Amino acid sequence: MLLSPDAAFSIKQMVWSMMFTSNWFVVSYMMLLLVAPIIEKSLKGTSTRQQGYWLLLLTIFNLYFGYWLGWVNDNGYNVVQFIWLYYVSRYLRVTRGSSWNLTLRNKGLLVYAMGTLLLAFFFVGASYIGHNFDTIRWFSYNNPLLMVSCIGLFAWFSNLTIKSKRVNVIATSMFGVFLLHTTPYVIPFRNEMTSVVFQEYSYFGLFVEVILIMIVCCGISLVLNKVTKPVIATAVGLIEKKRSCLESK
Amino acid sequence: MDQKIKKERDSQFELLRIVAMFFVVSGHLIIKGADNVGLLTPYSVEEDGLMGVIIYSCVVGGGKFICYDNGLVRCEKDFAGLCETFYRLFGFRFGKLLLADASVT
Repeated sequence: MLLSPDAAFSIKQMVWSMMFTSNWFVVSYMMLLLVAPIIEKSLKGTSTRQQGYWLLLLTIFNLYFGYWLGWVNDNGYNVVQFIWLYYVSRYLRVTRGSSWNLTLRNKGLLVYAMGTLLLAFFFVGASYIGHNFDTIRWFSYNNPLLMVSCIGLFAWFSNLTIKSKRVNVIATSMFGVFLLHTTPYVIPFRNEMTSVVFQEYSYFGLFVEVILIMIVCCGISLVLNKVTKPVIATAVGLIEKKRSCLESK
Repeated sequence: MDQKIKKERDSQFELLRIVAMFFVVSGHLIIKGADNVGLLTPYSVEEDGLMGVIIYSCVVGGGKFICYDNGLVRCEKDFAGLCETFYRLFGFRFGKLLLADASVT
């Protein structure tokens, strides 16, 4: 707004710009953060076996009643799926010493590759025989193939041992990259530009565009982080302190 | 042990976060920009080919990793995490407002 020649500051626009309810990912993520303490409390004192059993129940819940029947969590783009993911990662953490977990971490990349290839194979195969899958439904977050392949890649990454300050700093900007490239102001322009780039330069052009978006959004994000971090650090510190005081009473 | 895990932010999960966001951006460009996975127009093997579907299959799960990461590492910092998310959200929304064209908004 400030960069526009017709700039005019509007309180209403400012408030409106802070709305986030149109973004399913952000809303679901926040809902996950809200229920995370409840999940943690429920898991405290439970055995690994019990956690495994709960995870199994949740998996049936999500796969049969969700993906298969579509009664709840029909495409995985919601907090129900995020809660399942949370339980999965907690279970991977508590079973880290087990042999199956080690095997999964070692072969995770293979699991990921197999899962994604099968995902693509069935989609293309269905189209080939004239029965196109619905894209949103097939590539939904609770598709079993996608669930397995993502667990594989995550497990493989958890087995790496990397210590890099640079990576840690860049990673702090990733939420910003997400917000900046999915803003309603940017999406129509981004899609139009991508369409042109793809027609002109095919997948190489898309790859370059992704890298450019990442670099630009990361840069903006890091600057914004730098400016506003002290404020939020103070606020969060005060809230945490207050919470600790209340809990110790 | 939980305390130790919370304090030490291992770079492999940070790297996964970067890779995940690379996946998310790539997925958005392929499915909505290139439109060769059948979201906006019906998918056809002859017209759209295989490459788009294969790449999209690889990157579609990007957003999931953020939640895995949350469950594995940040499990007891939820309130601070929520505050941080709000802060980033509002910070970026405000930042975008400053950069946006008044006529568009």
